[in-house]
Parts: sequence; structure tokens; C-alpha cells
Amino acid sequence: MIGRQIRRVPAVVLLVLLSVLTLRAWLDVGDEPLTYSNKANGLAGITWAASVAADGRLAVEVGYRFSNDDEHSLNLYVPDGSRFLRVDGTPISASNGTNATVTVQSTATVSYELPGKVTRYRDGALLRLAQVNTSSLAGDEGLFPCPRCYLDGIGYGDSPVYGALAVPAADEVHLQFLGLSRVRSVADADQMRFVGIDHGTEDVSMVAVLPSESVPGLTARDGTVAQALAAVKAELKPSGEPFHSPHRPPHGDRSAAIILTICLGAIIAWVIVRLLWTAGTRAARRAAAPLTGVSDFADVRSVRPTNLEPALAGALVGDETRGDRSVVAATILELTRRKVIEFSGNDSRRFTLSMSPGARGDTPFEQAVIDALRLDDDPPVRIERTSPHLWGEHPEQVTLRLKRALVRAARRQKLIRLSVPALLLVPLTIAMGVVAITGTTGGVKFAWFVTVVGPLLALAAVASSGFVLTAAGRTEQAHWVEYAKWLRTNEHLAQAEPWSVSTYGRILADAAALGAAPEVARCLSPSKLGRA
Amino acid sequence: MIAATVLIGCSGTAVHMPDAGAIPIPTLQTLPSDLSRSPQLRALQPRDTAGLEISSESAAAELLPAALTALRASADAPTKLSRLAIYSDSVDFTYEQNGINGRSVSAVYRPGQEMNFATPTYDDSATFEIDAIEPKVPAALVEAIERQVPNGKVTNLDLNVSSSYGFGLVWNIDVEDARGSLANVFATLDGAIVAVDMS
Repeated sequence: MIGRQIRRVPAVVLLVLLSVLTLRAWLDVGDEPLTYSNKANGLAGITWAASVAADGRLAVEVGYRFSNDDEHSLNLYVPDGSRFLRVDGTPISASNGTNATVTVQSTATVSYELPGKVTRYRDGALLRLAQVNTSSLAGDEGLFPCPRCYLDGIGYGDSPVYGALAVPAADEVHLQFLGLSRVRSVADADQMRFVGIDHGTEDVSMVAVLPSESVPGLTARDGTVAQALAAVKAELKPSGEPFHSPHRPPHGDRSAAIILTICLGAIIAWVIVRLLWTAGTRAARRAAAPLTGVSDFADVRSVRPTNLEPALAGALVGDETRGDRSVVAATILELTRRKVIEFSGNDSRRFTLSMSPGARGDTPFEQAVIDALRLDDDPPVRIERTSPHLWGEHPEQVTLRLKRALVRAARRQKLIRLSVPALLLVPLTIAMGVVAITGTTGGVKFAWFVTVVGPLLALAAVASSGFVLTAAGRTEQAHWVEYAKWLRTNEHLAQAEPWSVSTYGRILADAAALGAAPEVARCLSPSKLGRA
Repeated sequence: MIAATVLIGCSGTAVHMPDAGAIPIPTLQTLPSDLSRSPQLRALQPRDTAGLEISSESAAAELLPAALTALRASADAPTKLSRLAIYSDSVDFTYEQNGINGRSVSAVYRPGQEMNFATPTYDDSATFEIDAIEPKVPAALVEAIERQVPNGKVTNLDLNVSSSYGFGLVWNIDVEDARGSLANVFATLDGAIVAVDMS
């Protein structure tokens, strides 16, 4: 019950999860973990760059990089009002200035200027490169229209989009995209860079909130930029395209990886210490074991190791022994041996336990058992309890109360102490998940998974390890385990009944606590299973 | 290690954030002092008209300063126009009379003649300030375009919102050669040639 070791399976699974989490954080550091697998044939990538002038005019450049040297016919569509339209630096004629067809090879760069796309408000400015045509996005009014549709020889698939928006106070810019997902961004002093995946190599549109000071040449309109943004979003809603904001940070923080590593190291170190501790316990047990090769010493373990009260001995032995046992039953037997409690009857299925009003225990746990038997009678009166209703209507509450009393008694005797690492493991696991969520970009879903599942695993691994044995406790445990083995060889004890304590004396109390007197344990324990 | 290998193996093509400065940032065009060096004018390419005579005459853009002066001196002294067109022999105005929205008057300026004013009609076209017009720009544009297309003529310059397409308020300039209509050139009021449409 006390000092149980960490459970190996959940502990191992937890360590693997946390190791992967930490490993991913390191893979994430200083690099973009953004990946895609369904590459669009013919197109290696798209680059979009723009600068915003003080009067809100945009200078825009859209670059297409092809993955082959084939000639591609580019049906060019640029936003209404685009000026100075050029392809690869050469001015071109275009119908209404917005539509043209050119043949390109290897790369193509379309550049133009675009006024009227920024609206300034007192608290910010809205750059809008997005329009909706009844129920779909107007691709030619966005960053670029569907490359797969307007560029010959581009197959189905995804394409990476690399971008940069040059604007003063770029670190205050908030980008939102339609058609571009899994976006990462990073801001320098005067430039916001981004990268994302154009799924299906379709239209990509964008709305950006800029600081008002970035376009001082524009007159500020009434209203707020938030209202304007909400209005634009409502207008674009019929397109059915979701908005995608860049993940932050753009790549994993080194500090996040370091924190995760330290946490993981601490957990591993704790596990190692626990393993060493366990090894130490085994060594102490071996030291306490009789010399099996020398028969003369064989009954050394038949001697009661110390004067520890039976309940504490049972608690220390914990899972090291098998069989039904009860520290409460052991205490009742000890009290009976000392005539504090009396039994009447000779049928273990129905007998009476009686106790005088002045009954007192010699130890805190004995007193707790007496108090529990009184069932809160005040003032104390003589009590008579008939089995199987010794513990009233709520034996589970009695079990819980006595468990706490036993832990207090063991701590008072310095046999156990709080295990700080075990108590910290759950919050530490949650913290690692949170650090991974906030400090990394790759595998955020996995980090969420660890944040939810990790604490449960941690709890399962150390559920009973909130307290650990002290050195004195481990020594006591080693001796009492050996004593328990010897007691279990006695078949008479196994079949003994509660009132047999008058015959066997204290040894029956020890047997009840150490799993060698299951019948007695079942009769007297408040727990249904007969185990405390 | 197995988990790491699986994670890396399933990750697909990596996409990396572009380094600072890796993506060239485009800059805005500046207005050349000589409009014939307007970069966008290179999109206007002459056609082969060998053996053909052009019948059209150039628009008389040099008339605009005098036409504007005459208009300002007229009884209505308008401040807002809804249309300004320059032809080979006249400058036509449509203006908002006495600031009354929708009350529109057409006026034609011909050199050596009195300005001709039509009866007011209803017209709610968008208007623009006369003062926004730079009188000497059209002539410079005509000269620049005709230098780029020696076998062509600028036959008409039109300034109104509806023929400016999405460019804001720009001059819509018709260019013809001996084969007929060659292009429309769009230029801002300060003379910046912003687009050429040869379709």
C-alpha cells in the first residue's frame, strides 16, 4: 500500500511519449518543420512579395518556379486597377490592364502596382487582397489566381508558397489567408515573411491588419479596423473558405527544446534513482533473509523482527506479500489480545465485538480504529457490533479514514516520506505538453495528445508512489517480508478465527497484517475484499 | 529512435521559411521627367503599316490649356467635370452646372471660335475637380506615344471615370495606325503611363 514502486508499463510508455515530444522539439529548432507530400506536377513553388507605400499603394511581385524546362502558357489575371504590369521585368500589354497571355519557361515573375487596397482607420489599416464572386473567391483579386487553372502543364497537387510583405512596423502585422494553410510567419523590423501550403494549387487570397502608422499618407476613416475586418470576413463568408492565420512561433524555440530536455532528464533521473532505490531495497531484503544454506539458522525469520505495531508492519510490507490481509483486522486482534476489545460467539459469519466506553489504544492508529468502531458515538458508550456489520453503513468511508490515519502514523514513525518527484510528475508532464504546444510548430497535435494522455499515464505510473519508504522503512520492510513468508507457512494461522487470538496471541495480529491469516482479515476488515 | 525515424520518414517534402532578404521586395515606379521614357510605353509596339497611309489626325492636346481657361471664364465657371475629351480639332467638356448634381452641360472648345454650350441635360456620372487636371500633360503624352509609335497617331484622349476602368481617374488614350485602332493607353493625371491595352 505504501512505497509501491512505479508501474513499469505506463512509466515506459510515458517516457517514450515524452522522449518523442522532446526529440520533435529539437528537430523543430531553427528550421521549418512544414512539410507536404502531394506535390503539384510542374510547379516547384510560388513566391509572392509586396511592399506597402505610405499612401497605401502596393508594389507586387508574383513568381512561379517550374519544376521542368517546358514552355508554359500563362493566362495572366491580376487584380482590377493593377498598374505597370510586367512579366519578367518586361512591360506587357493587357486587356483592360488585367488580362494577358504569355509564354514562360523555368520561371515567371509577374509584377505590378496596386493602389486602393489599403484602408486606414485610427487604430490600424486593413490591406485587403480578397474578393468574393457570389459564392466563390475571385482568384484574380487575391495574391494570385489558381496557378493550376491558368498555367498550362501544372498538375493536381499542393504547392508551397513563400511570401514577404514589406511594411513599416512589420512585427505588428497580422496576416490571414484564404486558400493558404499551415502558414508560418516571421517578422523583421520592416518585413513580414511567411510560408504556407497552397492545397490543390488554387487561388490564394489574403487580408492583413497593418499598423495605422504604416500608411500615413492615407486619410483615416471612421470606425475601427476590427469592425472593418469583421465586415470583410462576413462579406467573404459565402466563399466557404476558412481563414488561416500563421502559426506562432514560426519554428520551434530553442528554449522550449531545452526546457523539454531538462524536464525529460529530470524524469529519467528520477526513474533511475527509483530503480537504484529498488535495488537497494532488494539488497536489504537479501541481507535480512536467513542463510538458506545453513539449516541451523533457518528459523531466524520466525522471530518477530521488531516491536513495530502490526498495522505499520502490514503497511510497510505492501505488495511484497500475497494473500488477503488487513491492518485493521490486525489492530483489532492486537486490541483483543490486550482485552480492550472482546469477542463473543464462535461462528466467523456471525459474532459480536464489544468494547467498553473507556477503551483506548496505545498508538494513534489503534485509537483511530477504536474511534472508527464507535461510529462517532458521543459521549463514548459501550458498543457491541455484530458481524458482518461491524463498520456501519459506510465501510468504504471508514477504510479511507483509516488509510489516512495509517499514513500519518507511518510518517510520524519516519517510516515513509513524501515523494516530491512523484507528486511533481503529473504537473511536469502537463508543463512539458504546454511548452511543446507553445514553443514548437511541428507536431502540435502530438503535443496536445501528450498534454492530455501524459498526465494520465503519469498518474497511472505513480498512483501509489506519493509516499516512499525511508531507509528505516526499507529495512523494516525487508525484515517483515521475510517474517511474512514464515507466517504463511503456518496453516493453522490461515484458518484461525478472530477469537483464536486468545490462543495464538500477537502472532495472529501479525499474520492478519501480513497476509498469513486471510480468514481473520476477511471477518474484521471494513473493506469488502478483506484487504486494507 | 524508431519513433523518430517514422516521424521523419513520413514527413514529406520540407518547406522552409525564406531567409531575410531571400525574396526581393518590389519597389514602386517613379515618374520619368521625359514621358517618352515611361517604362510601360515599351508594351506599345508599332505594327507593320508599310505602304499604308494613316488618315487620322493627332488629337490637339496643346489646345487644353486654352480650353480650360475659356471654360473657367464662362458664365457657369464650373469646378467639376464629368468628362473631358480631346479630339483633333476640339476639346469637349461635360460639367456639373452650378454644383447641381445631375444637371449636366456639354461645352465644346474650338480654337478661334466662341465656346459652344449645349442645353443642360440630366447626367449623374461621377465628377472630378477641374483643378486636378494638369493642362500640359496630355500634350506630353501625345508626344511620347507618337515617338514610340512613329507610324501611329493619338486620335483621342478621354478623361472620365467610366472609361478609366479600374485604374481610378486616368486618361484613356486612343492610338491608331494605318491599319486602324492600335491600342488604348492609360495614363494618370500626372502623366504616368500605367497600362497599355493592344487587344
